[in-house]
Amino acid sequence: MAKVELQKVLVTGFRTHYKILMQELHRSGLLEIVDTSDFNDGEVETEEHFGAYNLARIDGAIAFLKPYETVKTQADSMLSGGKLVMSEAEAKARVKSFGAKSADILQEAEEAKESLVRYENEVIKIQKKRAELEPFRLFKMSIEKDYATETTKSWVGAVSKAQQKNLMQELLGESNLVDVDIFAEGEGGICFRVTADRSIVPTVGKKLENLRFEEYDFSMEFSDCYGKKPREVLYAFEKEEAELLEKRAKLEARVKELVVHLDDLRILCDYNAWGKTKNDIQHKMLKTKNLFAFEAWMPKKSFDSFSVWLQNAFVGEVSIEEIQPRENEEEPVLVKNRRGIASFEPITELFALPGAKDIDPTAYLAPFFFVFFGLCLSDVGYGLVLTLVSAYFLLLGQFSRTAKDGLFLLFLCGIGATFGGIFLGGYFGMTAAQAPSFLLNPDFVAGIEGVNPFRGQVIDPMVGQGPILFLGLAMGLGMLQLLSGVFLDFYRQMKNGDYMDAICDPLSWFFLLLMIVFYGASGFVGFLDQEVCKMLTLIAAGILVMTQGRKQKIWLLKPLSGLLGLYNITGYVSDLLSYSRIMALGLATGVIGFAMNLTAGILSSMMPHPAIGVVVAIIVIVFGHSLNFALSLLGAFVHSGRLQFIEFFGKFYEGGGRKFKPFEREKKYLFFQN
Amino acid sequence: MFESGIVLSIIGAVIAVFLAGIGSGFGVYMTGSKAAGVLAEKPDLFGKLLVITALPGSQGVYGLLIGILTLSKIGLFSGGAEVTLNAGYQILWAGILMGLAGLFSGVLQGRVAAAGIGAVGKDGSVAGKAIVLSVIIETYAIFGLLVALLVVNSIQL
Repeated sequence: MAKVELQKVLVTGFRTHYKILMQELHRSGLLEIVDTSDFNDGEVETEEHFGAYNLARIDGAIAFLKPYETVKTQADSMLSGGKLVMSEAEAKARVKSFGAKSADILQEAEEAKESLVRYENEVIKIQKKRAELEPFRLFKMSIEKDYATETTKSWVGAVSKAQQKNLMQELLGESNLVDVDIFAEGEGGICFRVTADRSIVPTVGKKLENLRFEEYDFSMEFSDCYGKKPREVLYAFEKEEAELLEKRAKLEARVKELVVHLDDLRILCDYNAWGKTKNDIQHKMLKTKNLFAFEAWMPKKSFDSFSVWLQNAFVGEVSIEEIQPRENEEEPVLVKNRRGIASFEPITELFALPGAKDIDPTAYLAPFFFVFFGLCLSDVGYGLVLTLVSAYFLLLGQFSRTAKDGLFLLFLCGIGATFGGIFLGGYFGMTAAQAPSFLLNPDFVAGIEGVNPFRGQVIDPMVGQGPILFLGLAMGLGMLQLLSGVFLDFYRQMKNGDYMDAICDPLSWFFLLLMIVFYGASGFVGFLDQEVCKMLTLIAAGILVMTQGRKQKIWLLKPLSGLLGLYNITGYVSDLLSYSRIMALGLATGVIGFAMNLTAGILSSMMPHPAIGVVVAIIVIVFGHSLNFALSLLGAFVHSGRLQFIEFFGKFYEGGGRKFKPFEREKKYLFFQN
Repeated sequence: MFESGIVLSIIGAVIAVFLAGIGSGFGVYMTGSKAAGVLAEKPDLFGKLLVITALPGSQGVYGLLIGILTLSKIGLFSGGAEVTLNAGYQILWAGILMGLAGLFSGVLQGRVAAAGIGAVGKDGSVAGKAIVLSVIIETYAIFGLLVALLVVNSIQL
C-alpha cells in the first residue's frame, strides 16, 4: 500500500553479459538506472546517430501516411486507446518480416511526400498565372515585350470601369490615327489596347495617364511566351494543370496503398525507439573494456528475488549489492495502491507526488473525492451516462493499466453522481411534474411540503429548509475532511519520529476542532452535555495557548505566541466555508438542466406546427444537456480536486517527490496482449 | 420603475446574468486568445488548454443560475406572482451581488488562467497546478453565488 519502499543498488558484472542483462531489464522495467555519466567520457558512435535518424524517418512517414488512413480504422482503434493490440511474438514476427521492406517503403513515402508538395506548388503557380492572363483571352495579338512598330506605338492595360466612357471620348476624339480595342470587361475594370501614330504618342500617353491607366507588363511573368497568343498560352496552362492534377491523384492513390504498411511502421517505430533507449542507457553508466557497473533504484521487496535471478542467470558473474544513496540524492517515489484506490492516483499526481516526509494521500482523498464529486454533479441522468460510457470502454476495450485506472475513476465518479442525483432528486433537471411516475415517491403530493418528490430523495435542495440542510451537509463533510487532514498530519509526524511536534500541533488542534464540533452539536444531540463540551473546548484552547509558543526562546513571549497561534482558527473557518461550493455546484447542475428543459418547452410551443416543435425541443434538449453535462463535469472535477489540494492537503501534505521512472519499454503504438 | 417589485426582481435577474456574463466573457477572451497562441506552437496541448480556457466561464453560468432562479421564484414562467416592493429590492440586491462577484472574479480568474496557459505552453505537466491556481479565485464567485442563492430562495414574496 501507498508508497513503495525503494532501495538503491549497485550492479556490476562482466561486459559479456551486458547485452542480455539490459534486454531483460528493459523488458521487466524493474530498475530505474541512475545517471552517473560523470564517470564516463560519453562518446557517441556513428551507429547511434544513424539510429536516431532512422527513428525520425519512421516518425515522419507515420505522420505523412496517417491522414490517408480510413475513418473506420481510426474508430476501431478507439477501443484500444489508439494502440495496436497484439502478442509480443506477433509484433516480433512482423518487425522481422517488415524490416527488409521498410527501407523501400520509407523511401517511397518520403519521395511521395516531396512530390506531392512539388505538385501542389506547381499547381498553385499555374493557377496564379492563369488568373493573371485570363483577361487577355480575347486579345487578338500575340504576347510581346512592347508593341511598337516603325510608325505606331501600342499600350496594353486597364482602367476602372467608370472611365470607359471618358476613354472612348478622349482618345477617339483626339485623332483618327488612334485605334482602341476593348477585349475584356470585368468587375475591376476594362482591359484594352490603344494604338496610336508615332506623331501623337505624347498626347495620347498624357491622356492615358489622366485616365489612371495601368499598363500591363508581360515581361514580368510571361517573358517565355513572347510570340504566342494569350489564348494558346492559356490552353497550354490548362493542359499542364490537368496533367499535374492527374499525376497528383495517381500518386495519392499509390499513397493510399502504402497505408497498409502503417501498422508495420508503427510497430517498427516502437522497436526502434526501444533500441535507442537501450543504446542511450550505456552513456549513463560506467563501462570499461571488460566490466560494466551502474547504480539504480528498485523496489526493496523485489531485491531478493532479483539477486537470486542474477546469480542463476549469469553464473555469479553479475553481482548486485545494496548501497546508500549519495549525499543530497533525491529518492524517487513509486506509489502503488489497491485497484480502485489506484484510480485516484492521477488526482494526487495532479498536485504532486509525495515528498520524502509525506504519506501517500491517495487512499484518504478517494472517499472524499467520490462523495464531493457525486454531490457536485448530482444528477442520475448524467451519472448514468458517465458510468455507462466508461463501463463500455472498460468492458470492451483493451487498455494499459494506467488508462484502465483512469476509466475506472470516471466509472466511479459516474456512480457517485448517480447516488448524488438520487440523494438530491436530480434527473436531467426535471421537476416532479415533468418526471415519469416510476421515479416519483408514491407519498408525494404536489404543493405539500415535508415529503420529497422523488424516490430515495433525502434533501430537496430548492424547497423550504432544503438549501440550508444541503449547506449544512456540505460543511459537515468539510469538517470531517479537515479533521481527517489534521489527524493524518499527526499520524505522519509520529511516523517520522517528530513525537513532540505531532502531539503539540496536529493532535492539539484535532482535539480543539473536535471539541468545537461537539460543543456546536450539543444543542441538538441529547447525550452531549453543553457545559461539559464548553469546558472541554476551553481546555483545548488552553492547551494550544500553552503549546503554540514552545519554539520561542524568550519565556515571556511563549504565552503571547500561544495566543497568536490560536488565531490560526480563522484559517480553519475559511477552509470550512470553502466547502459550501459543493452545495452551490450541486444546485447549479439541477437549475441549469431545469433551465434547458424550460427553454426547450417555450421554444417548441412557439413553433407553427407541433411536429416542428418536437424536433426543436429535441435539438434544444440534446444540445443544452450536453453543454450542462460538460460544464458540470468540469466544475465537479475541478472543484472536488481543489478541495483536496488546498483544504485537505494543506493540513498534512507537501508533495514534491520525483516519479520513479523505470528503464522499460515505452509503448507509443503497441499494446501487448498476454 | 422602482415602485414595482416584479420589475425590480427582473432587473436583479438581468444584472446577475449580464455582469457575470461580462466577467466570464472577458475571462474566456483572455484565456482563449492566449490558448490559441500556444496552440500554434503546440497543438497537442489542446485538451489541457481547453479545460483551463473554460475555467473563467463558470461565472457566467452562476449568473445564469441566479437569473433563472429569480425568474422562476417570481413565477414568471407560471403566470406571475405578486412581488412586494420590499421583496423586489431584496432580489435586486441578490442580483447585484452575483453580478459584481461574477464580473470581477471572472476577469481576474481569466488573467490567472491566461498566465497558467503560458506556463502550460512551456511545460505541459504543470496543467494541474495551473488549474488549481486559477480555481482559487473562483471561490469568491462561488461565495457570491451561495449568498445570492440563499437570499433568492428564502425571500418571502
